[in-house]
Amino acid sequence: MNVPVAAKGHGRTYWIETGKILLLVAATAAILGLCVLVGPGIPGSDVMSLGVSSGAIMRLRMVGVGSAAIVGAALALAGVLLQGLLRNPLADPYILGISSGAAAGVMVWIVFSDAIAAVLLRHPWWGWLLAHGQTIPALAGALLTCVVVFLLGRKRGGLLDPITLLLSGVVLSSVNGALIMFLNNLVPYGAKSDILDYLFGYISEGTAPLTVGIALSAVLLGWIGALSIGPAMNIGSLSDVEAESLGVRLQRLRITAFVLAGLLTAASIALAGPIGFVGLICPHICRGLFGPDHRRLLVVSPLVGAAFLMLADTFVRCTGAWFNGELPVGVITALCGGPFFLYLLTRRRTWS
Amino acid sequence: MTSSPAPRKPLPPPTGSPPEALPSRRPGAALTLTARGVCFAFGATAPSRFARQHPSYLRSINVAQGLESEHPSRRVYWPWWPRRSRRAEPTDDLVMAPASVLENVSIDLPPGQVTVILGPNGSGKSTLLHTLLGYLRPYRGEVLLNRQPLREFSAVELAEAMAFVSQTPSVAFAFTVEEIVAMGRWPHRRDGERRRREWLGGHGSPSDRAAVDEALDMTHVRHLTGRTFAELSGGERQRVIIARALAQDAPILLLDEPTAALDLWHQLELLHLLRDLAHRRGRTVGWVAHELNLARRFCDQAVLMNQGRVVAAGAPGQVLTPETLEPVYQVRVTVNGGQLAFTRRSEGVPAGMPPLTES
Repeated sequence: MNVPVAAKGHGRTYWIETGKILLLVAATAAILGLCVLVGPGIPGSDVMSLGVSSGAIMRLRMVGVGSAAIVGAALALAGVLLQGLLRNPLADPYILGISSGAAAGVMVWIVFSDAIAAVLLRHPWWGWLLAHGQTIPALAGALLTCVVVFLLGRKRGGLLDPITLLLSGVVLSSVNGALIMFLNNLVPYGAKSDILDYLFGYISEGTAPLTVGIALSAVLLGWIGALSIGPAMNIGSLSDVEAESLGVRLQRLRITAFVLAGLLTAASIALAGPIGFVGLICPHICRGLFGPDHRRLLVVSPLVGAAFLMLADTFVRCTGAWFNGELPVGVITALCGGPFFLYLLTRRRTWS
Repeated sequence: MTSSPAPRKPLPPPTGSPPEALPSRRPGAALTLTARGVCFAFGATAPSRFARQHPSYLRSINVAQGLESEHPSRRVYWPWWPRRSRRAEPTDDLVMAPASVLENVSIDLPPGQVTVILGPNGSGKSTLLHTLLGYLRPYRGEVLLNRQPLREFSAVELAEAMAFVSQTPSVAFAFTVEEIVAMGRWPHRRDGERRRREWLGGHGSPSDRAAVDEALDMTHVRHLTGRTFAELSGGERQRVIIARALAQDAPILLLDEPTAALDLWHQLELLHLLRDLAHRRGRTVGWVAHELNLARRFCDQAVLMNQGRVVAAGAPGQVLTPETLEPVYQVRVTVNGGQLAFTRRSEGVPAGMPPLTES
């Protein structure tokens, strides 16, 4: 007990923690391989096959699994960043309205695309916009919401205030929800199931490789940025005065974290729509496994998020035949994540 | 500190007395912290360089000086770019100031001395401490670190110079005591070697670990190292926060009611420690307190505040007398065997509260 810290050096704990991280990397790689190999041989058929399928199917599946990994990593990272930024263990991309903003953007697109087409039909951008489908409106909605929440979430002095930010996010989220329901009533019945799929999050195997590549580079950029503010995020979980007295420029830190979280969320939404619970659950799993230190959390959380969403996506893919077509993956994450979160909630009394 | 690179603006050379009993690990740079005519009000800032060029600001000065009428037709909407009117002389004065929390406060915290700041609730003690720290910016007056204004230092340089113990500490996640104390080493992390060791949450460089060790021992929290902040009692939390400030290893130590939650033994230990740090290591200690007798016993200099102003400052024997304390605290003060004793003043019942009947 009374061993001085100075004598320990990189003690046993440090190497155990590092070993755990290496194990996690290996496990994620294994899950990636497994998920690419497992799935129905022919899309839509009920024949499960383990092993190498034909080249075209493998290529499609790699796009799907890769998208799942990218989206999971982005959401988990955004969750860690927002929880650290708001000093609140219940924060996730949903609570700040970023996800619902993206969904609202897509709804506007779906409802008004004919009108927009009539105006823009001859414009050269029209083809480009059409080629990316719902990606561009999702991005626009997410970024617009980010900007509004950011502008509302400041105190009079200009310092971003966690409580104000949280409240304006919650309000904007419900406003977006209302907007979605309003637009939903403007849509004729035929188009509605499509919209519902989108609102729950849906990972498609038919995404253009370019879109996946753009999302991947956005997530890598966000990860690098997040790793660079990791040490400061630790100090940022103290009170404002204490953090500033330790030499952390809080305003700069909060703006950076917010921009990174917005970028990551927008990238994931552009790829798969708003998938819930990953951004809430994964940070808590990581804290349970690796402790609250953001220097470790920001390394491990994207791996855990990617593994979780790849498994969920594979489950959805393999059970398509049982449920009249594939379930939206957001249903699985919510069905698994909700009870698990409640389990954590009842097991651990203190969140601080 | 031995291998840290020189800061961009090197702090002035040490002038304090050399340490004697406590072994010193660093050449203790002795720093003086001075507040010169500091005024602070929430929501009030000195107009910025750009705001002072703005037509509406210049006009408000002209209006205030009676050079211009306030008729709305004179308002300049366009062009919005700077257009100096002929007579307006921009000043640093505030045109409209809300009620000030600090009014014209000038104090001096010299190295090698414990300065205690006293005063009733809401007299501006904590605000003064936050202003000295550079967290709040005064709208008039300035804070000087060895005769150099605070704004000329970067955030990390200020953190190297000043450590702070907050009255209301909070830790958002389940960090262990050891991790919290190690956070005090954050300002010293610019060393490349330290950075490498920090990767994935390592323990930092040997000097970091030595500082953390010493701080854990100084405040007697070594036995708590593996526990999280939420599990600790109020006094233990207080000691952990003080340990973090000590691990910061700064020449100036500002403490906001550090003894509030401590038991008697720990209070005396802490105050002896503060006095030793000041006298033997040449540290500058600023301490906000309510315990007048402890303050009288352990400080070298006392500052008595009331309603945002300094009422008395100087040696504790001169400041902590019944004549100065009675009007500030609204109690009857007597000196009883070298100790101050306080009784309620019967006529000083707060307004709106019925007098208690004595049984």
